[in-house]
Amino acid sequence: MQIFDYSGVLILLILGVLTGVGAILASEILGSRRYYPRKDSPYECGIPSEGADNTRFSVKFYLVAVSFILFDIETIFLVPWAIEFQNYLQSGEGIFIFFIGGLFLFVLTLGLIYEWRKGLLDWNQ
Amino acid sequence: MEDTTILWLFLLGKIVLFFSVVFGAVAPIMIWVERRVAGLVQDRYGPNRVGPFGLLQSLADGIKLILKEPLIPQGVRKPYYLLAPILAVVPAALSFAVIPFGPPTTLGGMFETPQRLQIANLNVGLIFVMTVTSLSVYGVALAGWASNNKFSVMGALRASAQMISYELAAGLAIVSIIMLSGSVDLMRIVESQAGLWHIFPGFLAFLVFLPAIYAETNRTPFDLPEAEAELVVGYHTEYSGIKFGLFFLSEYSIMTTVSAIAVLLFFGGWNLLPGLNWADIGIDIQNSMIGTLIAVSWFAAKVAFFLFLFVWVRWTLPRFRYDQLMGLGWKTLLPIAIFNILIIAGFMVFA
Repeated sequence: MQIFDYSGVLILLILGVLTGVGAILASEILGSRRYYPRKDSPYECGIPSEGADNTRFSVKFYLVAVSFILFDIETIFLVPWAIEFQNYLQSGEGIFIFFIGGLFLFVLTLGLIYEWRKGLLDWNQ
Repeated sequence: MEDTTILWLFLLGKIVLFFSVVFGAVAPIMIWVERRVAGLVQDRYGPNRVGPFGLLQSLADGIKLILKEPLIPQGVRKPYYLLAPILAVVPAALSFAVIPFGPPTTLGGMFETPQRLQIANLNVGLIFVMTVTSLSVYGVALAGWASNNKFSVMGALRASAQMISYELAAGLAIVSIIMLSGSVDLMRIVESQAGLWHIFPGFLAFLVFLPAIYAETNRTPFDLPEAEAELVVGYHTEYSGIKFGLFFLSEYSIMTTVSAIAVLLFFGGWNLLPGLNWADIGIDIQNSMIGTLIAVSWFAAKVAFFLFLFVWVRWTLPRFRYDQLMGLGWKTLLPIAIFNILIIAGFMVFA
């Protein structure tokens, strides 16, 4: 029944796209138009816009993105471990699965501590 | 086995029901509740003119937004500018595909075997929800980048960094719930809470999860991307009319989804009370139509409470500073979440 189940997701995807496209198209057709050039200018409290939109931004954002990828992948690795946890408990290997997961989390925490010490998590510098 | 045609009709019915309830009723009513509560908190009325108690306010606003001039400001990257609101709505629509909104039911004998009140019975359930809700960061990032406005870019950067940071904490909190229930299928997670709700063993996880969902939906006290005193309204500064409306709609329907997830993971879904099941008070939620309806309403009531909590918190708490926000996510919630996994694992093994 996999195809049946995923077809529900597909129908929702189509409905979502239709909602977005339909609303924008309806607005294009039904919306009133009274054009004058000032209306088009970028928003800036009524004065000419200052500063470009493509300036440099803080490198912190990039570093957060990189460390997110590392930690998120490790979270995903923990999910199968968590699903199998109870099975191992029932077969009497609870201590084994606990220390395997504990070791993994220990390494994960070391990475976090390293980042912390390097000042990656301090935004007020 | 049931007739395939009936199953397809049932599926379509569930999709139409869920889609129209979330997009057509819950999100508009939430917008009204938000504005009305805001008014009452600030000792004014809020919208109370359109329809009974002002309930139709959102409908009137929707019509107004469609009839507004479809402005496209100069200098925007046009294809991406138009794509961004659609990319915001699609994850919002997809995210409720695997949310079960009631117990498996025969609908009072219409089916031979109990059917799931869930649009798609995916065996990856919870992971699918996490994936799709994190996709909403693309709409935000694209909207800010395409807009040719420095406020939008800053808002989008802040929003992206904050959404991905708190996703980590939320993900690790969810891992401990997966351990407690031994499955990522949301239906099974609810069934495993028939005796004891996960909020009791997983209280620390809930303490991490609750702020994380507020930050992921960019709500106060974490609404830095929209800090109106600094950034106008952040990533959707240059959006007006129905394009702004689509961002608004997706924000409120994602709020609905994460509230439902919070109820399903920690508060027992449609289970009556901790230690007291529907069967104990003589209500058959599987075979009787009324019993099913009662269970679905009980679930909806719990979700409504969480939705109200969003509004309540928004008009009570002030906004964080950005370094405080990132500090809370990385230095407090993340270590607590890791620690919590160890505590729960240790408790399950040694107790």
